[in-house]
Amino acid sequence: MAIDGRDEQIEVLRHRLQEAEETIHAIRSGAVDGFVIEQGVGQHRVYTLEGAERPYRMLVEKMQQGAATLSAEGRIVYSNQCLADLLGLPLERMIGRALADMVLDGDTICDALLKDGASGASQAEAFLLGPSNNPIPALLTLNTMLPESGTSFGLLVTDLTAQRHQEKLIETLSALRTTEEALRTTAADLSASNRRKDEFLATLAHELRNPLAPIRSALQVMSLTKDQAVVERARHIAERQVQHMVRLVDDLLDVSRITQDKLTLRKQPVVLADIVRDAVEANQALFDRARQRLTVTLPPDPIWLDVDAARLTQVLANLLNNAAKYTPEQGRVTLAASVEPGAGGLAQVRIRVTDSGIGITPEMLPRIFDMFTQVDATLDRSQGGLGIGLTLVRRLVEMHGGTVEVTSEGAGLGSEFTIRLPYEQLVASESSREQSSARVPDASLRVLVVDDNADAAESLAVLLRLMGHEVELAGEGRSALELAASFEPQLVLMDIGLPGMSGYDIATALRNRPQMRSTTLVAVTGWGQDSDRKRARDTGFDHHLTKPVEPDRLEQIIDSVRAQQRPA
Amino acid sequence: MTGDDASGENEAHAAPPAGARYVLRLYLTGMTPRSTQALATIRTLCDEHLAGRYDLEVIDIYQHPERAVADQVIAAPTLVKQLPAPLRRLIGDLSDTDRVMIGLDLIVPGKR
Repeated sequence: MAIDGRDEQIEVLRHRLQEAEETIHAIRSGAVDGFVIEQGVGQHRVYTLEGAERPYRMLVEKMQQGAATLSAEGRIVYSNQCLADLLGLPLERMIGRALADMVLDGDTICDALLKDGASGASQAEAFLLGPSNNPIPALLTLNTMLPESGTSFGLLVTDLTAQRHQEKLIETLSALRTTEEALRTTAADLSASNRRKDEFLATLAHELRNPLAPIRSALQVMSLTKDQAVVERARHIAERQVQHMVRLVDDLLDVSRITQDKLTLRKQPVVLADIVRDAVEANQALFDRARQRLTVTLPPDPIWLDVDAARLTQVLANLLNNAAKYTPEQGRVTLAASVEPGAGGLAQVRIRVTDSGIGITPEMLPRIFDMFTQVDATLDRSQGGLGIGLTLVRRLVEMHGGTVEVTSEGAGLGSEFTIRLPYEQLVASESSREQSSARVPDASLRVLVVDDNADAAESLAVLLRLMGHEVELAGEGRSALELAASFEPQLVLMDIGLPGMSGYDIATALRNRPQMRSTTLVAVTGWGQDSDRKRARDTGFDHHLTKPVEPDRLEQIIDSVRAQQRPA
Repeated sequence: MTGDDASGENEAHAAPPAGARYVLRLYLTGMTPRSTQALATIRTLCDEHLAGRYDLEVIDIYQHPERAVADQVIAAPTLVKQLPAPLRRLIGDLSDTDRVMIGLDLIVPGKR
């Protein structure tokens, strides 16, 4: 079928007409619900017939997010049910309410939200004030609306409670993981510490066995020769080794007491110079043997300290001993003390022990005061030592309210230990000093030694007789009590572990006799446990000595007995 | 069985060659019931009769009023048959499937 130009135009028009008719028909029959209207170039508006917006309305009403529209001032124009439920308010009380009134610190948060929202969109995490003002974590999202909608902002409120719970859960999990990690580290530390203890025990066995060989050979030498010079030298060797062992055991006991918080300080006014002298004396032989030069620098005026003299001596002696051990032959060691202003304007005493020895590597520095730590195990073995000396130093200094620190430029560059002690200006009590140094005139005492070990009793008796005292021996309780009645001793040295009556029983019996009230009773036991000391004190002993009895200590006790005997 | 109008219209052009590709655009007013119904109808028809040879674009007049204007669409729903020629606009919710079939040249009126 041929179509010329005119027919074509008619055809197009017919189509347009048909479309127009169909459109009108569709509108009349309600088959369309939206219209697009052009308002000038590029400006379009969409009009909808009633019912077209219902699905949108339902969407907003039913969604599980809080939704609202706000006026320019941030007042609610419309709210969906979810938001009303979240805030615990009936819907009708939502309209007209200011958003700021429903948010914790609302003024600040909402001001910023509205200000930023005016330029497009804004977001903030905040706490909504829920029922009974319970804060509810929420994400607030604000969008600008078109002016024709009659509102300024669309608000979306997302309840973050569940999310926060999850985050907390994750946090808890991660904390658990951290704890687990820490536990693992602790376990590793423990096993390291355990290993150090094993090494320590090995060292201890080694250290305790070491002096036995020279002692044994010294004893052999003494039994084989009558050459007085040789015997004397052998005896000297044995004595030195015994001294060494005694010091090891003393250190061990001290560490154990400190660890269990059972060490108490006996503080008294002392002059630092005396303590330094004793500490130097204890190590003089060591310095001499290694031909090391020790320089001591003290201020001209005496520094009085309120400290446990024996313990501070131990501290300085340990530091000097350490310096001597870790400094090569002909090296230098200095000890310098001074009074200087410390923290808070309080004066403090600073004591520095510096050596030109092997130094300490930076890795070792933080661990140097730890128990059983040794700078170089192989070297230390050759030097002897248990790795507890510095631990003791630190604990004892801390017990005195002081600090100790160490610096070293590194391996081979020497070390410096610095002790700082609080310095209170003590009124020098010259009288107590005089009293302590005053010699009581020698006087012979009647001493009763009670011990079932005949050798031990006899050797102690020999020592006492050499000191010029009158001595009687008893091996057990009954004879001890009989002897005490006839001999009337001024001093009784008594073993505790005896057959039959124990030392405690004998002491109690003796104390019950009127003539024995002022007698000085001394318990002599193998190991100085604190419980033993306490029991000894409770049963009437005046002193407690640990075997082997040190002559110095014995002499002190004898001095005190003499002082008592002196007419007032 | 439709009116004379439709038969006259059909005389104006030949039926599209069998297997011709269809390009269709459906203008809707968002997610209203009429929109949903129109979309369901056209999908069914296309799947039945034009399987594998049609492109259907669905346009929301809220989201793209300018495209409606460009296609001379005034009301929604309106289905625009871009191809095969001639271009046709079917106004309304397409509930009268016969009219839609005729509009898409899928049946010849009176020969149903």
